[in-house]
Amino acid sequence: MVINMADENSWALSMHQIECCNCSHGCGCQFGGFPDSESGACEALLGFSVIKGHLNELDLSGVKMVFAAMWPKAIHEGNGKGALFIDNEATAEQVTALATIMSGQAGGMPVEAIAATFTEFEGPILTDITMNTADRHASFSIKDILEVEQTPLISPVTGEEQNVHITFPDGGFMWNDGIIGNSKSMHINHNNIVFEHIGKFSAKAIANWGN
Amino acid sequence: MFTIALSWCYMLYYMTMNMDPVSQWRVVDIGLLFMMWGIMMAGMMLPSAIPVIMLVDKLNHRRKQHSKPFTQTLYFTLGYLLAWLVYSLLATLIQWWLHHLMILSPMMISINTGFSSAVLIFAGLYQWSPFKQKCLQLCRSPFSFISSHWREGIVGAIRLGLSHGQYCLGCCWLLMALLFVTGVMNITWIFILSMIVIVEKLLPKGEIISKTLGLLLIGYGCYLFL
Repeated sequence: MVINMADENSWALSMHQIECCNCSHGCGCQFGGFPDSESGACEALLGFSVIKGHLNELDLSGVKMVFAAMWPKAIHEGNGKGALFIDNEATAEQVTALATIMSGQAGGMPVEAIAATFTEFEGPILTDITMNTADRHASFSIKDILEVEQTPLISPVTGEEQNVHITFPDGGFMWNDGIIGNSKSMHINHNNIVFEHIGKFSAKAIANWGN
Repeated sequence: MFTIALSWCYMLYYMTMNMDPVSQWRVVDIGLLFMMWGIMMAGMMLPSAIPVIMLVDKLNHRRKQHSKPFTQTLYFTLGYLLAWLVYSLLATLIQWWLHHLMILSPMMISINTGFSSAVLIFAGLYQWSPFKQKCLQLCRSPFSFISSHWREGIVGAIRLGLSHGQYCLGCCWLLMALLFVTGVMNITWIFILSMIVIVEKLLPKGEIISKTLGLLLIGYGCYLFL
């Protein structure tokens, strides 16, 4: 019998993912590997609310977390800085489990690959996270540290809200179907992770990750 | 890194070949030619694959740190080179055939203007083809490729490298075939083509650069023909 140690920690997460970054609409990282931001860097804030999930026997449903990251160039070129915030409502076991998963230690894509691109990683930081997972008006915030608010794209012709999706029928690397919008607010000020990007790329999706 | 240095060292200092007319070639000459193509492709393609190899290495390094099972990055690199070895074999056979047709001189350079301009124009058009651009895009975004195709174990790592190599092959095989026009052992062109591959794959606006290059190739091909 083959024993695979990577399967020791079996996990799966199905989550609301609220994503904002410094790219213009479309986010080059999703397709071409390179961010289409003005500076060529990638700076992103991602909010997650676990719909259903587990690490081994431990249930992770209902937990909220925020992931902040910045890379000087394209993600795959590395040298990234990251921070993981977990909501105070999570139990101590859940916090440990999410930290193990999100730091790539339990394996599984895409987190393991993302984790490999960081040179600095802080967390888990326990804090109060406010989050709204409504599809086109999703938002999350941590008092005095960060805030994200998404709004739908508005048609310049009719002024109506547009229903824009990016889909990966064969499976995307973060998610398969994203509702694309605009960042009404997006900023963070936490130690050496500091940025603000308003009116840029935003996506709301259901992410299904696991190992 | 070592392989890259070694193959460039070979290309700069040791690349000698039997320049006798092809009718006098022996099996060992064809074997040597295959070896030369293999080494040239490794030297020309590996530099542009450094970021993806580094990414795989970072991943394996972290697993090692956490005492998790990992696979040496070497196997991924081997898989990548395997794709180019298959190409080298084909290139060798095509070159042999071109010698027979008297399209290439014994100095391994095209002496047939029609052939040269056809290859140039075709290579230029190919730069614009959706297939090439699709391959280039996949080659340029190793992150999503690695995270969606990752497999465990030695065989998994070789397969991952092989499929990444296939995208690069789809992206660059005609650029490499330009060597038939410029002279197979022309070190200046080997260097220029390697730089083109790096620029296309690793700079933020690579797609635009690759299309511009396509236009230049078509232009030069037409000029040669007229």
